Amino acid sequence: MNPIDPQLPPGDPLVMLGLLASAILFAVGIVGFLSRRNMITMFLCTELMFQGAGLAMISYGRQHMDLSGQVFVIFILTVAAAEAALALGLVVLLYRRKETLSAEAWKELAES
Amino acid sequence: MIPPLLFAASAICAVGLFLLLRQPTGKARFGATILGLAGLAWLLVQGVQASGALGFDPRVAIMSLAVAMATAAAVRVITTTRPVFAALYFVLVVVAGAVAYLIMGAEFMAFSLIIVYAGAILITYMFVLMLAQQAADADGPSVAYDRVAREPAAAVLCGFVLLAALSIVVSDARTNQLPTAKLEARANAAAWNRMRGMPELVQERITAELAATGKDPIGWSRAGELVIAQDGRTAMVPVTLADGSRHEAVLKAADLPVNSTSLGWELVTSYPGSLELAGVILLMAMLGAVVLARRQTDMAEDDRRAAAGLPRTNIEDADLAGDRA
Repeated sequence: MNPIDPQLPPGDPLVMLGLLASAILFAVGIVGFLSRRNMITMFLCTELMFQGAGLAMISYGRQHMDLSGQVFVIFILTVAAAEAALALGLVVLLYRRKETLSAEAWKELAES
Repeated sequence: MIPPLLFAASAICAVGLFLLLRQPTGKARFGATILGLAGLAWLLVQGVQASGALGFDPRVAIMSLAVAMATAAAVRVITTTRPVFAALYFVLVVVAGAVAYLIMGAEFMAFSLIIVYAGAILITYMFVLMLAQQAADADGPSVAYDRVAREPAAAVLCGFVLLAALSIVVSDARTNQLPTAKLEARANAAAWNRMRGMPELVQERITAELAATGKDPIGWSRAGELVIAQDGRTAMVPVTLADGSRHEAVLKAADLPVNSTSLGWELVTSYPGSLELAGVILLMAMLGAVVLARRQTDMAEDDRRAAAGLPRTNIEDADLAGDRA
């Protein structure tokens, strides 16, 4: 891993910023998913991670000057929409059972 | 980017986020925010430096602002205790993300991101928040759970080990890059090839070119295929004009199809199977949501038969009629 190599042509600062932003969004999403206990907030955190993935796709697409990255974002959007529909249906179902949105209410599903 | 500096910046961000997750108030909250933003700024400056770009570029400034906005909003999503506010801050993340998409030249995806995320998915979240509303009172949420983050230290540690690892990959992005000239030549060739498949667009551009060069733009016909120039920046189309003379219409980079046109073309020519699969995924999600949202009814077997129009079995079995009692 070499730091700044003067031999290389200048890269695109936008790509670098986009990739950093995607990494940050993904990390923040993981932290939120692990630390929050409201099921709706937890699913919002997975959407944050989707955002990070999409931003990475767009950035790499720009780096390689290729449209495939943008095409993949369309599929990411599709999967995110499907996930939101199913996950929110599940949340409503779970809320009807226990009258709470807390994930702690379903502790008995854990192994220990 | 030099890894130790990178890790230091990530660690500062981590400490800031950890302090914010503990729901501080007043000065402590202000300090934690400043710390987190400072770490973020250092990380971004390192990123811009590592790209080796020189000089000031307004696009970089706007992109940095968008990244800072997205990060701040994302942190608010996970630190606020009210899910409605979390959803609204998530809209801000989406808007900042769309700005970043726009600057990176993905116009179509920027707007569909806003329409699909801020318009559709977030509305669904709002509906579910209303459906699953707890008895709220005037002075705030009355829920007893999720008032404070659970094990913020472990979560932050986990997240920022991930961030450090990801940013090493990010810093490799420049070393893995092909030479710019080669990339540009490839991208130009791909763009002209896409344009070959759009004869109506080519016709429109040639007409415009003829009008611009003072030739007769009516009654011409194409006399050959589109030929890409050596450097890939322009392309020539031989045409026969109305008066029978030959002309080489020169198309420039500005004549290439716009982002949404090329994206649609790429989608249906290179990924038709994936497109069908995406449709199937959406259909399955719809069916799944319908099945999940169906109200569970307590009906005995015999009643179900009656509801379905079948004759009753008249079996006085406790197992079958049990739910009616």
